[in-house]
Amino acid sequence: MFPELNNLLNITPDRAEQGKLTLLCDAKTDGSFLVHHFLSFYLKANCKVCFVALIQSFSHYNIVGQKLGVSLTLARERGQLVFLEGLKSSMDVFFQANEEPHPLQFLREANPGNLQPLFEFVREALKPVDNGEAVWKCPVLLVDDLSLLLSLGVGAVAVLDFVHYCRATVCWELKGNMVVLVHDSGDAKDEENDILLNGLSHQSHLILRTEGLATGFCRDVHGQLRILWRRPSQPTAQRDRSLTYQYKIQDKSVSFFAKGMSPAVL
Amino acid sequence: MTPSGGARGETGHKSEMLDSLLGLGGLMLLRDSVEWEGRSLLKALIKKCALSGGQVHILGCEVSEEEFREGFDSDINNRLVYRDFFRDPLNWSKTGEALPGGPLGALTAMCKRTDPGPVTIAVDSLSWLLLHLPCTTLCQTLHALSRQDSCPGETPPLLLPLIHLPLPRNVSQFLSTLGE
Repeated sequence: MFPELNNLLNITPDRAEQGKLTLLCDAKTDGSFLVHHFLSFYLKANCKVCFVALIQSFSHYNIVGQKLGVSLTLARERGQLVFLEGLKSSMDVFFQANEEPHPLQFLREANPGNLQPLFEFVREALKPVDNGEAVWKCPVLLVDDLSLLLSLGVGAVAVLDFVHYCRATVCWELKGNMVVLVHDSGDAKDEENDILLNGLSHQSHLILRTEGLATGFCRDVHGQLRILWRRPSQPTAQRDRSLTYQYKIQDKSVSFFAKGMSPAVL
Repeated sequence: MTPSGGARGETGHKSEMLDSLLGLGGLMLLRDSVEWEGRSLLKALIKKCALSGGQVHILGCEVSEEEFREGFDSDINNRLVYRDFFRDPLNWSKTGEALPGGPLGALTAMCKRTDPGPVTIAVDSLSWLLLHLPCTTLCQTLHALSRQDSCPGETPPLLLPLIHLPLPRNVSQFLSTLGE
């Protein structure tokens, strides 16, 4: 995880909030570093994590995770991490018998309906163990990323329904957290993505939006991060609702600084 | 002005503002944005209506009943009738506990009064309903509920639907028929 980002968000693995939905959004840049941050954050916080990883392989997330101080292999072996590797699992969909339910079985359908099988997979992965002993802290669902589901033919309403049910189960019933990534294509004609992004924005407690610089590529400033806190648990809490920082991604860390205050220009 | 006097003055102004809003009656569409959520205003209006002694019905689709009731004291909470469409709106659990008639049936049933007195119907949120129901059907239902003849012999209910901006493109023009 990135300690500077924890400072900006005022969170630590020891005192992670519960029952929250965090929306990660990237526009004209790659916001996946935020996914890696929250994955390592919640593993270090000793949470039970279900990661629906549709974009990259397990190996990719594991290599990055090791740079951030976590071993996904170890976490999976001891039962802390349930990892749905979309790239690999999608092959099972086509070569497995049709009778067996599969979380990605919408890939079999010419007109994908709902994502109930995927929700059932998440619910099963994060349900409390029968012996009642709390081995892990609160459950966490990570999804990378929801926009891919639209590309695979799932409708925006179906994706929103999936997130709704996950929220009801993970955030409300199990008092856990959710972190989902959605891309903002910036295409005014992409109505489905707009519906998804707007719908999720209104449901989220925290929105982290990364944007590419309007001026284009810069070696020392890789983008801008806007943080928006919504639905505060304490309405009278003295805290800024919105903050904006620029950032630079390095090999094992990300540094944040006020606009125009990059160390390279000071 | 003392700090306490200042606080009382601010509370008084808020109360007057809410009174003036509620005095308009009919259908009051609350629109919020990502930057400024409107559920707090909806809850403030609900509290005001409950304290006025009327029935308050809530169609809850977006947050849990516990979260929605947060911030209300027991006196207010006892006056609220909550229809929960958050936990299992599409009946994926197959328990058969879904409310009969779905959200539209629930809205219509809210108009049937068990006690005399004003009725307030809050919808949290219209955006969720618009994703799952035909826009024209929903707008016609709301329009019919807010009309004078929806409850013969009674004052029509006050409707407080919350909707999130930006609106989907196909919805904006139909919502204008609600006559904000």
